[in-house]
Amino acid sequence: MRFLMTVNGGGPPPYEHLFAEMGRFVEKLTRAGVLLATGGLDRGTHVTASGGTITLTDGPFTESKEEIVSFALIEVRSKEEALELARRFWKMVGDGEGDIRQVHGPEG
Amino acid sequence: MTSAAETAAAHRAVEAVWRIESARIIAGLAGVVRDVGLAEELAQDALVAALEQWPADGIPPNPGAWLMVTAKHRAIDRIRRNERLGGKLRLLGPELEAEQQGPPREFDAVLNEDENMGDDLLRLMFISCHPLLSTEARIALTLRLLGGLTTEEIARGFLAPEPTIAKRIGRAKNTLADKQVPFEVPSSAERPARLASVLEVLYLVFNEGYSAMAGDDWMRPALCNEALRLGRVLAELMPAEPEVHGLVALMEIQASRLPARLSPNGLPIPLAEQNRGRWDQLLIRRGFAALLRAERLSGPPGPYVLQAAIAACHAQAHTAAETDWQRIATLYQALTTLQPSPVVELNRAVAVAMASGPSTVWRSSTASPQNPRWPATTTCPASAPTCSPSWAATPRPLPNSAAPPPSPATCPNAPFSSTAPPTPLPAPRCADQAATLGAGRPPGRRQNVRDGAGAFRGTTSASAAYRRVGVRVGRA
Repeated sequence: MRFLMTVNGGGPPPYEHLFAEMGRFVEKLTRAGVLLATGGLDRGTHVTASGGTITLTDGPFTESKEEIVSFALIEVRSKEEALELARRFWKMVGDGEGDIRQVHGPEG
Repeated sequence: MTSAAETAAAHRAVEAVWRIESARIIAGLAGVVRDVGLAEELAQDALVAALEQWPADGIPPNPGAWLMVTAKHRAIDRIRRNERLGGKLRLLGPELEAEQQGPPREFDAVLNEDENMGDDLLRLMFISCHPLLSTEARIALTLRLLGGLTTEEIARGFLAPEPTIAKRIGRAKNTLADKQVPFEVPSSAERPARLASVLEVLYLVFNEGYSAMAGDDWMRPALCNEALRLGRVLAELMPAEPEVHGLVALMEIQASRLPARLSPNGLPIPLAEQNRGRWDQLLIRRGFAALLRAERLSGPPGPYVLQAAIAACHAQAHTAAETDWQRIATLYQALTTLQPSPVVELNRAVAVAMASGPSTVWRSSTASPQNPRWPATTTCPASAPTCSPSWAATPRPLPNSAAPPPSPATCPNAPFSSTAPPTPLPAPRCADQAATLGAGRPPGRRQNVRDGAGAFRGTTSASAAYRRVGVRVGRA
């Protein structure tokens, strides 16, 4: 089953060694055959659809701590496994917020 | 006092950690005690301890290290017991002292060498797939030791009684111990055959999962993911082996079709009739990336790379009608020289028919093996010196793969983005490489050609024949 781990913005600035540690973490997940895709997200364009009218507005819009700034798509065997990996991830990152959601489809 | 539900949740959390860590722990322990059966027992002891302690105390900060340290203590207990036993035995004969040597490596070294753990993991893969064991035993042992699956899960996955699987695993461990099979990565002379056994086991597991029908136990399709995961692990452990990447590519691309392979009433849908909009593009891309990794390595394409290249041809076609059958026919031609079999011959015949019409198949199939022109029946002229040594695995980029990957530089606060950006799939280097495949190589045994063509001739159209072959194209 797939899970999308997302990280919200607004946390404290990354400490010096975080990027190296993150690189190792990502590498470890890749070597474990778990990580399918990962990336950072730019501030995007907000879309509103209402009564057939589509409105596109350039950001920023939300509080940065509500904004998703990066993600990792992982393939694991149980929700508990995803939660355990999230625990390890956040232990490394420190303070901040994010979510872990199961992805339904295309595998059904 | 915790409720039953809390305890169950805690047990699931422990099991999740076990799934993540078990292969590395067993591999690390086997590196020390040099006996995979004993290593697994020690690791299981540690798991039991975790199931007892973690629900009450919480999961420790470094659960993998906790499990390893606990297993280490169990191992030391055993060694001490054996020493006492050895002391008694020594009275019986001084030659037995040789048996009382300490472990060849220190546990603490294993604990600290996280980066080198891969070597032990690789050894564990090779020993689990050792040719001394039956194919069934290799599969069961691999899933148990490397997949962290329970005996019951393996039994459900393979529709076998649990005691049968338990016996199979037990016998396999005994065989490895009795024959004193070394816990090592095989020497370069042995390695090709031994690696082929590992790849075969992974692909058999994958195919078992792929053949699951609607209503089957969920463990069966889960075997696909497990084989794919182990393949990805192996690809990182042996990055210089093109066939490993070939197998990973093949499994990624075939797994991309899982959502489309069954009809609502649970019957398999042939490849040509599948809704390609349901194919998982993420897995297709990963498959192409694996195929490109294989291509960057030197050497002629092996059977998995060729099959992956065939799967890639299908994955690139937006509709069945757009399939590059000529290229597929050439790839099958190369495959017949490496792995002659009725199924490969039949698939080749179908591909030739789809490329050029049924009459061509008959002509090509009836050509004598001595006819040097036989391999080139329907292909482009077999002369592309600029592409030599060549093969056809270069996947063409998907239509939207030209979109630039997200740049980590734009997201300085994004922790996940510190990884290198994915490399966009390169444009094909040599579109006609397929034409030279197998050229210069004598056609292999082809005693099955007539059978294959015969099966084909009886049908009214090429597409009907293709439907009959269905999903087996590329999975031979």
